[in-house]
Amino acid sequence: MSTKKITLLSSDREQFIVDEAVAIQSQTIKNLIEDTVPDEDGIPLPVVHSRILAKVTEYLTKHANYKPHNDAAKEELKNWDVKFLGKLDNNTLFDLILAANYLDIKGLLDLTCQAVADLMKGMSVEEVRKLFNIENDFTPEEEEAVRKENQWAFD
Amino acid sequence: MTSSVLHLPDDVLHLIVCKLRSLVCHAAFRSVCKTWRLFAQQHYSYLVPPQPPWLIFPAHATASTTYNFYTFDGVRQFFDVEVPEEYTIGRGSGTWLTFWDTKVERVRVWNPLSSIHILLPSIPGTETILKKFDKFVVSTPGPLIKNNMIFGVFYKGEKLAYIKLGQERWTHVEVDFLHQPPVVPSLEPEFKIHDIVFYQGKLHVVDRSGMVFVCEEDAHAPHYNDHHRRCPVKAVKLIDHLHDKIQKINHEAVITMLYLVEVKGRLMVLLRYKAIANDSSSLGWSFFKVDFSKRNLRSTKDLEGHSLFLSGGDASMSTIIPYHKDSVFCKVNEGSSLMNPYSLKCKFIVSGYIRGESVCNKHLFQVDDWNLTDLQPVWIIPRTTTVMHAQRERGVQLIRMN
Repeated sequence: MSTKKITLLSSDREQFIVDEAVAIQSQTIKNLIEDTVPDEDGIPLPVVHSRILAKVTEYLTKHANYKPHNDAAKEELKNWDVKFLGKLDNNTLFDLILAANYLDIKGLLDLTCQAVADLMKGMSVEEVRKLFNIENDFTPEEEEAVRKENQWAFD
Repeated sequence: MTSSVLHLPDDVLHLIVCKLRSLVCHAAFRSVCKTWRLFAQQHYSYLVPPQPPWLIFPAHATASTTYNFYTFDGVRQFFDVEVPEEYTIGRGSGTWLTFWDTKVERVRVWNPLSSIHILLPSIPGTETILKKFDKFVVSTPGPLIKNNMIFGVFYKGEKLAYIKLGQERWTHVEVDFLHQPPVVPSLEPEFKIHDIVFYQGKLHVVDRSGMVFVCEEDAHAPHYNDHHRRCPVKAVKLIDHLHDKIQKINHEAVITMLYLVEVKGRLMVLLRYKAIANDSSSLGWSFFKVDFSKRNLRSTKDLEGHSLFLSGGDASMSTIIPYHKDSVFCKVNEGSSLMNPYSLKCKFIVSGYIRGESVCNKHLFQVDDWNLTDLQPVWIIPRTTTVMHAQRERGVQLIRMN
């Protein structure tokens, strides 16, 4: 079995050496391997910081090496995902979403988006703004209209 | 990379919002900022997962004019919505509730989750009757713009009319019912029409004999008229082959109720057999798919994973609820306010097929609340409605309530 290694280069030029089978779970990396001549130092991923790429490779390594064949194994992988998410702070979670989107890793994107959706459960509008780092840009009139429209949900 | 979600691409935002199951989360989402509000408005129809209906119990006549919603798992949700005193709750249709406004003596159609009201013109000569219309159905194939929303109603058990948003007058429809006397005249109400539904923008009708009619607009005829005796739109007979079957079934002990519902883009006719002496029981069901090309009905047992909610008063509907696939729900009241003035058990009978198994009369939902009186609960699908163009017309007014 081939264990060809691939070197990924983060935006801060840190190298991550992984098995090709691990790396090509990312459609973007797979395309880069096929279509481009790699940089001497590795495949450059200019928008993914090493802090995030470490997390991405951790996820990819687990999922490449672990092919669940029964319900118990699926459950174990699910539990691993839960633990993996549990270690992330909110900023890392959002960065991981952006990385999963850029690298086109469907499983990781689904997992992280679900985590954000779960975070939003039971949150007030103000808490959602804080979570997403968004400013309230409604005019007082608009805000009143929005409040009235969604009054049923928050009173 | 920054952590601000303002940098999240639309498709990622879309993915996150698609994973929000609860309507309250969606309400929070669209209250965050201008961009998200617009995003929710543009994508709402497919962002929000299908929801089972909510039950709304009309407040007691002497109680406050707020309404409590019950979710389908029987949990009372305090999504109280204040309603002006002069409104009397009518029927539910999809996302809409209807009210009779005693002040202006007209019907209001209201989406309780977005506070949008539509005031409809009255039907000449029916003001007092319209309070008790038998069924009210709404067709909303897209955004609320002129002519893109049609309201259909039947009243007095046999009168049929519809109106489009923006029109000033109702169009009356003449239906050539097959004469069929009631099996037990004293017990059975004189309902010539059993159900109406909008299917592909056209009003469809099923009568007591099992005939299905479609209301076809004649381009040469006036679209509306002052009085239904002049220039009515005729309902065209589409299918009549249930007629013999129903005649054989209906006798002094068993009668049939017919329902029309759209399931996965197809029109279905459902036949419920019930004991004439017991309104709450279902003895059995037959399901038929309408084949428009052959103008006949095809018997089926396949509900395509949908859950059907059927009602004599509120609009029948079909939705997907992951934990109740292939099921038929009927709203049934049990108990009497005379016997027990403080309690009413509202039971949902689930009948037909639950995950391939044929069952009848399995109680699924039960509300036992001392606050309730013997008023009929109304069901609606909890969804907000997006208004693309608020409009004020002489005939139909579309307004937001403050």
